[in-house]
Amino acid sequence: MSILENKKVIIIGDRDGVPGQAISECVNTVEGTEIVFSSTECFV
Amino acid sequence: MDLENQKRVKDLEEEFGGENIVVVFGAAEAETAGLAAETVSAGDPTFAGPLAGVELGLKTYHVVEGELKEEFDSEVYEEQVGMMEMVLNVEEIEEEMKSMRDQFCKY
Repeated sequence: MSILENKKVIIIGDRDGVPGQAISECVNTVEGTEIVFSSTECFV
Repeated sequence: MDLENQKRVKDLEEEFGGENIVVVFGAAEAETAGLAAETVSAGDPTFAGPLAGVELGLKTYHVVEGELKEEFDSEVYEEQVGMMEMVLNVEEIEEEMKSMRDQFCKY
């Protein structure tokens, strides 16, 4: 069963890891998902 | 986890229902990813933000986890995450995230 299919996706990226924008690009390739929030945190 | 983001997650859970939500993280360290996952599932462990004492139980993944990665278009993943994946400790991140899901995920 797909993890992301038909789900609302919240993305919390990390400036020192994988940024929100990069995760969004990946999630957008999965059909039937909707990104409801995407952010990039900075721990510095 | 950022206090403003905690509030957004809380509001979105109320709006869409926890069973319909998946939270995906991109943290650089397993520990940081685990803390963030704990915050949106068991509540803010630092008791500082809007999720203090709030057990949302949301399903959480890190973007590099194999289970999640296989759902993405592989070319896009390589382009966007591939470089970073090489420097992250994927095994440690997977273990930490699985442990958080097993303990706190309600869905």
